[in-house]
Amino acid sequence: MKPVVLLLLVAVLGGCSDGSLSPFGEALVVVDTDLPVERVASRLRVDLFDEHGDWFSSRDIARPDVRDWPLSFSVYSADEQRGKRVWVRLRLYPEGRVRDYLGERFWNWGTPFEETVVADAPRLLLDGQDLTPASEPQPLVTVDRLLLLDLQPGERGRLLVSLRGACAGTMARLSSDAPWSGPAQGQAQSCVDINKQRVVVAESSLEQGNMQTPSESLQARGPWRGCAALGLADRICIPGGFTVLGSSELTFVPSLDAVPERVAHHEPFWIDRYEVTVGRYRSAVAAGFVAPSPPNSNDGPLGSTIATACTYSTITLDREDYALSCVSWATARSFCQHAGGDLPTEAQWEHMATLAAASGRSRYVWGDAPPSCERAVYGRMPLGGTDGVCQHLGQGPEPISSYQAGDVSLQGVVGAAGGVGEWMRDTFEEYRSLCWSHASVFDPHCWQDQPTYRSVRGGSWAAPPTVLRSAARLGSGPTSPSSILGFRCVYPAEPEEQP
Amino acid sequence: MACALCLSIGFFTATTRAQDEEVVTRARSAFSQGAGLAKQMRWGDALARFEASAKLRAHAATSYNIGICLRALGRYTQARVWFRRGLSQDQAAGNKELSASTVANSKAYLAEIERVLATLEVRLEPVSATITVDGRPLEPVSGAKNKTTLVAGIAPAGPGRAPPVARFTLVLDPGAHLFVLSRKGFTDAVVRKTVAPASRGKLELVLKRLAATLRIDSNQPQAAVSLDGLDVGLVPVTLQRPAGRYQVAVRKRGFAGYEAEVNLSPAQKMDLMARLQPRAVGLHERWWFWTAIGAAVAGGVVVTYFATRPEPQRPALSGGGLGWTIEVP
Repeated sequence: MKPVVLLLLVAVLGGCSDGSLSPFGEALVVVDTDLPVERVASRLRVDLFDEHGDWFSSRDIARPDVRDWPLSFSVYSADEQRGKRVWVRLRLYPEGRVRDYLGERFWNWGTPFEETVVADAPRLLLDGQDLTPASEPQPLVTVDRLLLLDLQPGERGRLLVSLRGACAGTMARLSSDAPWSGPAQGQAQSCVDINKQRVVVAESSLEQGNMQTPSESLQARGPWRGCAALGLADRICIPGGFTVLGSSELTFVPSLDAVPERVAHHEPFWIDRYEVTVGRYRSAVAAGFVAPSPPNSNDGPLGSTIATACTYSTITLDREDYALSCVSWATARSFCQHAGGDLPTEAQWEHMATLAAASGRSRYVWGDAPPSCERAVYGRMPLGGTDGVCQHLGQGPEPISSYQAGDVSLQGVVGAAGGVGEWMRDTFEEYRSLCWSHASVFDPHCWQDQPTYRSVRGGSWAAPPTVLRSAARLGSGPTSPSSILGFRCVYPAEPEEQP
Repeated sequence: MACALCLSIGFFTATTRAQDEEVVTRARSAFSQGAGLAKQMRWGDALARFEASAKLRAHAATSYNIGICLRALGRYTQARVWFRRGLSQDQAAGNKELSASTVANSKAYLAEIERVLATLEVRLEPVSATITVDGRPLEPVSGAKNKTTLVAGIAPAGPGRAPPVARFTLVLDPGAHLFVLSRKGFTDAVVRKTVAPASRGKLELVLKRLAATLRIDSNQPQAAVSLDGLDVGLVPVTLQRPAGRYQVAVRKRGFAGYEAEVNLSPAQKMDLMARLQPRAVGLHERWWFWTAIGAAVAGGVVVTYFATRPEPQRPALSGGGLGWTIEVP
């Protein structure tokens, strides 16, 4: 080619363009989620690693308003000569649910919750400054997704990413060879949409030329699904959906701690409006129910100490509308099964008891207001040598009709906070135990045959106010009936149609 | 409940041969421990001790106590077996091993259990599938000629067995049960069902044919595979999916994308080889094409455009809704 022709060509190509340079390689990352952002996961952490796995950016933002979703941001490369790959790690988690950053600490389902301290943890260093975040999201309440983008000079495109609640708790695995390093191609794995499952992260395909953030969001579906059938007077429908199990506010001693918290999903279910009463139990027996072991009976007057306050009597007295107490776990469960249901799981019960807050989770069945003696039946017995906090209103248990004053959930469940503690179906194990480490996002539970303790939820007439917290956990020997222990049942429900 | 136990250990003092004495002593000790635990209503622990005693030395009273423990634990089908066994052992021993009241209790409990047990009319498809209920295979009713009635909960825990017929009556304890069915070529089925005491119901257990296996490879390494628009990994990738139609896409930069629709049959194993071709360079991408065009038009306009040419602009970065534009170093 003669030099003059080449010169003309360059001149014409430069002059005939529309006056713009070719764009930088850019990816618009659009992030949506099916987790309810108002109640469960409102924070997004974005970490970026270059193609060598070196960490170069970390950002964190709260977006608790559903109208802000989907979120979007862009990643670009100013290199006009060659393409660049970039790893994007997205972590969606609830406000405040963080732990200290001590390096990448990979945890997998079914393994103990051990806090490994990592020597030489990767740091985020930029221009000689250490910008490493002090904290990172708690894995069990986090949806953790890895993306690999290829940014080519002159190419722009969009990538839609759904952070699925099914993936909560399934940590991304950055590298199998060096677990504490950045992401490695062919090794990095993260969960896409199936509970507990990871797939190898492949290069994402961008929608070339499309840089629009869609206005539709998965948030439009709403957080809950109700029951298909209409309710009965004595059973309440508890809507299903994603929630958080546990509370970082409740850390007493390891065996009673309500941590680590985890994301849980429930199908809608029915629950008894009231705790099972002496009268209801007597009617069931008359109708053919055979208890594995009858409740301990008390044919005398109702006492005000744990030893003397069993409510069941072999003959009909004036205690038919008292919650049945002094009943073994096996009999409680058998009763519920006879009624077509079962004992609630801890997760079901806590879900029911934390629905009163418009956003987030309520501390008590009725909301966040602390308990008062007029609202619920508790503190009706001296404890530790001092008077019970509500003893001035009388000692000992009360009939369920007296719970109506305020111990009522948003849906209408009565007496869950006070009255009698309630047997749960679960084995009583620490949330840090191996049993709970196997539990799924969906209907989490810990069931073991013939355990030493079964779980108990809810306070009792003898309880101090702390136990009335919806996330508070207790346990009791399954064959140790007590006058502070009763139960209510849950029943399966068909969910309503998705809109 | 505990007062209904047969607590006497006197029967062990019956005549024994010298070589049996140690065994009898151990059986007596286990029995005594079981009785103590039962009085505390620790039925699971008591059951273990009575079973240990029965293993060392069978006796009608031990069988009866095992029945009591099982009944307290809600394991009615097993309790029924042991109450019946106790009565048979007593009869075989000339009615000397159980008191009259214990015999009467046994019969009362058996009658009660008959009222409590639930039944399910089960249809199984395919018939050769093996089945377990709560981890135990099913057992026919002992001594019954009718083989279409099976009992859950009495066989030792173990692998499933195929029932003799596709439709049978299943007798089981009230409560929640886990049915597990399996057959080669079919997916395992796990069904939870809760039955109420004395209830009668129907249960259809139908196995679906096994999912298909789809293996996707390419002539190019590190190509990304997506199935119905969802990234599933890099080639080669092996996927288990239910039968049906799927859109497969294999992509790699610099190569023309490969797309295919596959129709998977149950249990089918399909290998898909995506041959990626380097992206073809079109006529307009040849250097001499533009050289010729350029040479033809450039002469007339080049001076004018040079004079009026605007400063080149680069398209603005998007930043999305958050306004973040993050540069890759």
